[in-house]
Amino acid sequence: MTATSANKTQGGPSLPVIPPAVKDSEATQQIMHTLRHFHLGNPSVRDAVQRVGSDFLPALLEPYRDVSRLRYDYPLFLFDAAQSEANPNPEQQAKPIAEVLGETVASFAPGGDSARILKDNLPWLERELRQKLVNVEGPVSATALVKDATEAMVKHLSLDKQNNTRLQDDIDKMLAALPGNGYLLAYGRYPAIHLLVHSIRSRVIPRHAGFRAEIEEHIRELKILLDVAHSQSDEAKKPETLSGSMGGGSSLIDTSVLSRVMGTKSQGSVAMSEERRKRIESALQALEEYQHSNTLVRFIHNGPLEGEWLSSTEGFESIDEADPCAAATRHFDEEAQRLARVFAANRIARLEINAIYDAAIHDPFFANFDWEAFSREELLLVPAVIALESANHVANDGMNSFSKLLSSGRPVQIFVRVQAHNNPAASSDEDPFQNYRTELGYLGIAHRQAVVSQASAARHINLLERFGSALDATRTSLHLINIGLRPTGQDMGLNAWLVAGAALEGRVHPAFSINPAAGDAFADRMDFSGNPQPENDWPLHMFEYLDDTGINVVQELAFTFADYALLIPRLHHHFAVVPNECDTDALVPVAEFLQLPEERVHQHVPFIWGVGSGNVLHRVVISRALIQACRDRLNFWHTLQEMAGVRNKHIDNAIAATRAEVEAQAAAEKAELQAQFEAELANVRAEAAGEVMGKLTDVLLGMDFTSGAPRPAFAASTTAPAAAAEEEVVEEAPVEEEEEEVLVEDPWIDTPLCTTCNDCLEINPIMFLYDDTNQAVLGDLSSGTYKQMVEAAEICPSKCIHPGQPWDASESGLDELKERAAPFN
Amino acid sequence: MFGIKADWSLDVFERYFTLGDYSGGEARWCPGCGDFAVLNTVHRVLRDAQIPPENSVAVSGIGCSSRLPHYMGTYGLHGLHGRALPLANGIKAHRPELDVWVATGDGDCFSIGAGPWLHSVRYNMDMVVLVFDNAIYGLTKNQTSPTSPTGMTTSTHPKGAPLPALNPLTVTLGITNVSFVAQVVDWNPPLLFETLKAAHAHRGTSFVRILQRCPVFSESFCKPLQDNPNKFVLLEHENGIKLDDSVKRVFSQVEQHDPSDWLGAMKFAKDDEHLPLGLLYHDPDAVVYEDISARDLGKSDEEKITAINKAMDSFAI
Repeated sequence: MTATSANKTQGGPSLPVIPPAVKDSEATQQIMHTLRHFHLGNPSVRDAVQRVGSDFLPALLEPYRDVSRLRYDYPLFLFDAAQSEANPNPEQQAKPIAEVLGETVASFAPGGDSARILKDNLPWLERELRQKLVNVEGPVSATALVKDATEAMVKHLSLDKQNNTRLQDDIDKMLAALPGNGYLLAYGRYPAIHLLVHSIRSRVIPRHAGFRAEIEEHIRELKILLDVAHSQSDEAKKPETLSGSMGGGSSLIDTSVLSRVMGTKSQGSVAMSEERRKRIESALQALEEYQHSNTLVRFIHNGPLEGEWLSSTEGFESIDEADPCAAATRHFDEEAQRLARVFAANRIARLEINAIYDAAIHDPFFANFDWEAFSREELLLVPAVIALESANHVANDGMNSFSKLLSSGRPVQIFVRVQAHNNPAASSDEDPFQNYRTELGYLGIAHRQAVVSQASAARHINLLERFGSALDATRTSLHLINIGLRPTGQDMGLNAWLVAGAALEGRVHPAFSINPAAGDAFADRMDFSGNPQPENDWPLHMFEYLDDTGINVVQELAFTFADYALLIPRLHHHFAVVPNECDTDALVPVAEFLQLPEERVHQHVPFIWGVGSGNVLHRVVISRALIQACRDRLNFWHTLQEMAGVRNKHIDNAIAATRAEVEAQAAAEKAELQAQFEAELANVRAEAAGEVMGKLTDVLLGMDFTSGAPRPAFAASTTAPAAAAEEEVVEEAPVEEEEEEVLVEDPWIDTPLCTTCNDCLEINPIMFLYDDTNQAVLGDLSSGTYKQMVEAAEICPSKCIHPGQPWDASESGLDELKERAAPFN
Repeated sequence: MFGIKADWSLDVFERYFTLGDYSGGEARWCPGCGDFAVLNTVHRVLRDAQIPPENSVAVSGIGCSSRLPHYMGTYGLHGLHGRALPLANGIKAHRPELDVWVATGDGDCFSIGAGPWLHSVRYNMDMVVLVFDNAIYGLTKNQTSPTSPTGMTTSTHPKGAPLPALNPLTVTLGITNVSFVAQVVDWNPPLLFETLKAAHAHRGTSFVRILQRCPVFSESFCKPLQDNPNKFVLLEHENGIKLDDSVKRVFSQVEQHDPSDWLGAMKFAKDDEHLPLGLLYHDPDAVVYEDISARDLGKSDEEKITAINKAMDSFAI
């Protein structure tokens, strides 16, 4: 039945439509003349073409224009870092709130109809949480926020008392079952930075706890060593010391005699050397003095950031420096120097406790103990240093310190926010398509020993995987992150998460990572995951619209760099709308245009599909400059594909060469076999002909020719079929399941079969209740008698009440009641 | 595409309705009456569809089951005997956007309402028709109805009903433009729920015959069936009613039947030995009359008068 209402904000948007128009060949000529000039960059036609409006979207993105109806991965629920495992996987660190709420409710209400009202309204709760987090930057405590949202939901639903109580019970259960100390992270201005910090905290906090425990143990054991050494000293053998150590029993012993005996007769132990004692005392002091600062992250930026999160995040130290990369080196060295003393003391403690400290070997080692001597575990304990850079700064003035830091090997995280459409090397007033794009990722790869990761904030799983692998690599790491926002933090007319996703889709900001720790070959180092349809030039998707005659058209459409560029208002001068009356084959989609041979390019003009206000579909011609940018991006994409081994020309060539070699060899073998076969065939024919002639002669001579002659060996070998042994299939006889008679002890109701007749409730409305579907369930048994239970079973028209056995042995007439109950159990 | 998942559209209930919102007070039928189950199932289907109660109408004729609109929290119309369907058609003709449920019985629909029954099925307006078939006139105390089995003792036939019972399934299937025919029993709520849900989802007249227990006057009709599930054959198909295991455990005789197969549906409908349960016939493409009757509904009185005058003028000499 279709008669419903607009109660639910659901249903897909209507299809884009090409408005009807009369095709005009004369007008087409004139239009194409203008559009060709526009495409080629003739400034005189700028005013003669229709520009795209600010509401234009690439056709494939049109269905998601209404952000309020869009469910996407954010807000993310960040799980408590303190409860994290040492190497948590991405899903143990963060999950979309929709998943967390769904799983939490399912944990206590697994059935479809249980907690029904809450389950039905989880999307409302999700929307409310998303709205509450608009303009909130950084993680916020989840429990309080979810509680607020549930209160708003209860108010919004305004249910009757009974349902309200049910809902409130389920909400209480949900809040209790929600993972503790979690945070909610909205897709604000710095989602990737927050995830990096969360990833660091999830890794470092458990490690620090382990390290502290290790230090405490070492302190305890070093103290024992010193106590033992002290007991062997002359001081410990003095009469007064001995007397003091004996407590009340000292009056019974002459401690001066004992002291003399100990001084002259004690054997078997050697007093600790002064050098060793000092070393142990020094290590002990360093370990005891180790007051672990709460700083987990030193975040160095050049001042453009704002927000409460900079000062309120626990263990997070925000440092404003003009050249973040240069400052990061300094901050890391300071931190490493401070910890070198502690790590050295800890190692010395371990050696001393095991009595294997060898001064000849270890003294020189610890004299020069700095961060380069740190173990991987020790490096992971150093507070993380993050240098936040802008793409323009590192591609211009900051290049020197950026490059130096990347080459240094220091495990510093360089975080660069990238405007996907921009050229980092171009100045702010320069057209980004004026030059080939400086690919910072490629620049990072040139430093060979650094981890280079290019990722999107819109793909949190991919991002957390990359962060984890960079942190574990304990190398300098470069993170090039696209967020989908303008530098000012404003969105681009469409949800920023979606724009960042579109940058991945249009090969504008492809995802990849190079981890030199994984091996020397690109095959080992390169991670190419996170790119849609990585084998294609551009991802292809089905696109549906109504053409100008009202016919529903479905076609495959590529999402290209030009489609992405339509999302950027600053680039709108590269687009011109094609009037509807234009009817020509000279317009070709961008993806097709890029495939044209050079000699045919000038015959065509490239376009993309765009949707403007009123869901009207247009072809939109793009400029030659933008086409060149498409080629540039495609070229870089091909480079990445080759590095990832997705489409590698070397491999293709090798395969082609091997194939040619194998085919040539096979052809030669075939020719040889054919020659052999023909020779044998000729031979057999000759033999057979001789035999036939012999038989014919026998016939002619009236001899017996009926005895079977052996058939030629060749014929036999070619015609004898291989006897395939049929496997006998033995079917196992089905084992009849014996239905065991089950003695039902407890009463129960087969609720799905209840027909809501009210009969049982009329017998006892406390012992029998209705559930969320108005079907009977058992309530409080103690409120009624077994007799009532049996009566209810007898009266129940759907026979869904099973009385079980009596629960109160003192009830009278039980024998008779049990007999009556038996048919229903 | 763009990282969007299948559930990208955030479907939020701007208003949320519970079962109570579809309930119109305490239902009063005899103890053990099958009507309770149907009523609760209708509430559940509406609750799942979250149809605002003010957008739904329950229409009935006369009979025990025709009290259903009184127990609905929706709009309702308790009409004349045998005239539930014409009233429902009228509602759909003028307010095609409304969600219409018809409650009628074997007497109301198959006897005095037989004419509207045939034509309503043919008109195929978008509504669910629930025929509560207990094979007896219950409200008027035990008179023979068209579906009373031969030999059933009633106050009008104390020596037993003399004629073979009418088969409403074959009749309905024989009506031109029929689009949805199903049969269920009231005492299996899971099957009843899935069947009414499918009927509600179908656009057109969904005819659902419900074999309904009347423990007071016609126990002999349903009790043998309830006690012997082997009297039924459960129809199963990917385009049919969704059957869960609990239903199949009760009705163990299951047969595959494509609901688009009209001849197959007739074969099952005619089988008196094994009564079919589930969806017999479904044609989602049958003509829906309100698509025709609702044209120009939005016109003002002046526009209508002008149109009439213009039409009349065309006859002027």
